[in-house]
Amino acid sequence: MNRYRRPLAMLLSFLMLAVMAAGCTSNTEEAADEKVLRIAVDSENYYNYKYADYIEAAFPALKVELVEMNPEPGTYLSVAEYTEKIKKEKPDLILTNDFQYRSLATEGLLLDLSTLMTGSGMKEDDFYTGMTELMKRNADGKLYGLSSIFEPTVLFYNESLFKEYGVDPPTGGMSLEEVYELGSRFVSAGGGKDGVLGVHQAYLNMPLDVLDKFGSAEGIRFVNYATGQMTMETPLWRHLIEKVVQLYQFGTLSMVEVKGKVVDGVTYFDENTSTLLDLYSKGEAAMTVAYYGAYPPQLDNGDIVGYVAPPVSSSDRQRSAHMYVFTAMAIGAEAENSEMAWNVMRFLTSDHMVKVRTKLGTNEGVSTNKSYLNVSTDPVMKQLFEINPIIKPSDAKSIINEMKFMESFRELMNTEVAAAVKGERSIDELIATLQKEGQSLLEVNKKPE
Amino acid sequence: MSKRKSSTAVRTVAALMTVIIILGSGWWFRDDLKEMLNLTEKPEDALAELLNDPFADKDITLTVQTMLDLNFDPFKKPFIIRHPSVTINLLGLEMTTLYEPDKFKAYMEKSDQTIDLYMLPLKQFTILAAEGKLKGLDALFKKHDIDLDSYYPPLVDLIRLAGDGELYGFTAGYSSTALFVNRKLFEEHGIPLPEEGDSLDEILDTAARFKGTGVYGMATGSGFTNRGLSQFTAFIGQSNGLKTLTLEKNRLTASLNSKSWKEVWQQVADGYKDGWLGESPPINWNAGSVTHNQIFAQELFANGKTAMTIGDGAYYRDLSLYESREGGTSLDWITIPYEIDPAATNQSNYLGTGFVYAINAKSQNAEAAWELLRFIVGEEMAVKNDRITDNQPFDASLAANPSSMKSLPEEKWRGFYGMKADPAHVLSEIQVVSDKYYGIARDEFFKLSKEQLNAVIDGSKTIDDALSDLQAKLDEYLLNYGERGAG
Repeated sequence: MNRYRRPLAMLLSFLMLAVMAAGCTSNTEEAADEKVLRIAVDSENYYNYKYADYIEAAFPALKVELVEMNPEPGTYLSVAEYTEKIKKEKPDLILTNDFQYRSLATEGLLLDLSTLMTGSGMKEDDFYTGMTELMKRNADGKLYGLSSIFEPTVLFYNESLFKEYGVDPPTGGMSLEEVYELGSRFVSAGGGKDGVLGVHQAYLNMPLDVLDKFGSAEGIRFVNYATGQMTMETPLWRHLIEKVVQLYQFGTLSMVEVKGKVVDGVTYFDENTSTLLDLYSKGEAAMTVAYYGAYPPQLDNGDIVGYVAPPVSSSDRQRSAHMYVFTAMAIGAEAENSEMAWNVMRFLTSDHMVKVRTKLGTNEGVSTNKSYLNVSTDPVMKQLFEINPIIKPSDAKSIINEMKFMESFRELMNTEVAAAVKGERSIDELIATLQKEGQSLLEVNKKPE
Repeated sequence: MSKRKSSTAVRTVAALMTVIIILGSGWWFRDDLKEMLNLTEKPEDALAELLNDPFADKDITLTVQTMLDLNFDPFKKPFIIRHPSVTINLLGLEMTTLYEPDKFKAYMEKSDQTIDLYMLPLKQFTILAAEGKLKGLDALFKKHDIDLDSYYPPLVDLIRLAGDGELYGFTAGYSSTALFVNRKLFEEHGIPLPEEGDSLDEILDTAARFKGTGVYGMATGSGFTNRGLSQFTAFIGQSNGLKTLTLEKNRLTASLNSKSWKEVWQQVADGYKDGWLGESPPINWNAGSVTHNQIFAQELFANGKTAMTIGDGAYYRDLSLYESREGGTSLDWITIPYEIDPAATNQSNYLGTGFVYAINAKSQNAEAAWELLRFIVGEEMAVKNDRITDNQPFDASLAANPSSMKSLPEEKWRGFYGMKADPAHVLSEIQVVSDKYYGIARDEFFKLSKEQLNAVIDGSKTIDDALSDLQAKLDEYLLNYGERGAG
């Protein structure tokens, strides 16, 4: 008996230690629900406006601690500053935008979601491909984030006017150039005489914006910001510029600019100006591209509103420069409560939330969860899910102060194109000027070494 | 020999322990193992459970009667998030339709909309309950195990009484009035705090002790309720059981010329002259909209100029909002309940409901209407609305269930839940005071009363003469005022 007393005592104390150790660990596991969830979000106001109601409904006992990234309205951290702050704060859940997300993913600050998704029975294919594709656009090609919504646009057209002038309305899958051509046909069929434009983008009808979009749609840019070089002396640019000049001359597009009030560098439009700017809503433009759901079935003047899938790239008709994913959710690589962060992400992308969003209205974007296609009765919606955003070239480090450059380049482009429209410049002269003077502006707006 | 034996023993123990620990870990860490082997339950089931939606696959449309220009989203949105298959259509009534029973009745007779859930002022609720138009809720509360005991009992009694013994509706909000006390000022001037349940006389006596200290002991108004001296006088008198205007057989009579009223006027006039009773600065309501900031820039209690004031639930919220905006203030304030005379004629100031939510007895969607009702009056919404933010809730300022008052320390709101008003009194009062016929006469009373009290303050009249004149003028006015319902 005595022989076994000592080993027995050791056994018992080891057992107790093991029990205590295991007990401590399992307590941490069970307390996951009681642990605080630290969420990085722009501001408390933004969180309350966009997310709080949903998270509180699904997880009423959850304690949330906000890491406010941009608490002062009007003041925003630069991409680099934002990334630094995330690195420092180590939040669990990050509710951010797509371009900020890209920087965080590149810096290795986010958790790879693939294992979590598999573990939850979720597949990338459950979602709008355009979104998962964008989320994987990082050095590793891994899925570090999800967005529960995307912002598709559609090509709105004035069905009544098309009927009136006997012009075949647009169909989904047209390239931007084909849309412009249709606009010109509309103008010559009588729209022009009655002062109705072919195509008009509210706030974005000036040459710079038109060409910017046209270029994006075809995968070309004005400038290579990494090398600080103008890139407009290409056959494709010549084609687009020539086209656009003709469209203004023909009356398909309009260069009438309604100026807003500029206060502290920000342009404000009051209600009157806004109405002046949105010519489509007034029945003064045959077509416009706008967010899905932007217009009701009838305009104020009674004209019937129709819409089709938005313009696509002529080189890849499954891609459009008019499809957007603005938000992103991700889990911090050093999150202490990644489990809860993932629960929240799962909920926000769930079938349940698809139904909630549908019920509450679409001004928050369209659910990326494909189960939305079972809820939406709109035939166009299925097409939208099959059009992905254009993949923009990876942003290598820019050596130009882009905002300042754009301010001056905008003026240059708008003035020069206006002159060309009036016949005061040939297309070649126009391009040469843009290239040469654009280059000077780039030199002047280089970032300090 | 023994050494060898010990090492064998240790090795045995070690071996045994290893086995036990490995087996034990397998059992302790079984959840992790499950996850590693992808054996967790499917997440969609977990989420469905989370929300526990009884209407998950049913398409239901509810018509909810609300008030125009009132933002119902704070209830609607959270409810839809939990029950996305339910559609809520709002039927917004004009304020006058909602608050004037004749107009309400006329509207309902003309309308072909079947309302599922009503949102009613207490008076209109009483009428519909009496007409048998509402669904009884006692059985539903019991069926769903909802503990009504935690709600403020006088409030529940009031609603029950309004339904002649049965609960035909319920409310999320509670309105009341209590004494606000600045503890720091009392401490600074070495004056003992008033006690819970003090009478107003005792409280005014306490206020008088601040004479000569440079701060007021009492202010006549608070926040947006900026009573002047004469309205304060009326408030004190009524709380002590004195009558101002009385409605009897469709006619109003005034009773201001009494010894009791003289005592109140004396106390107030003396207080003002002696400098311990401060009159709240006037608010110019005609200057367009008046902001919260404008009011609180000069508000006496918030600026530490008075040791006490009498304020309601709305003032409690406004004061707290002011403090949070200022990043906290040095004010150290609490609320204390005081004694109301059992015969007080303004008990509806001390016990009021928010909107009363009730289910139409004829509703075809009673189950869904009930879910919405219990959600609106339930804890989750109450706790959320209790938070002091820039977006103040549209309904009564305090929670019907005091356990939902979680955002501020209890000592700040306790006073409101200690005011002992009589539900029966409240019910008979609301029949009168919310009536337009009464309201117009009351405004005239305030006007005349102010004139007379001013004359007393500037020394041109004695209180006896002032009250006598006031009575005479009121008698004359009311004689020509006509009968209620005479158009």
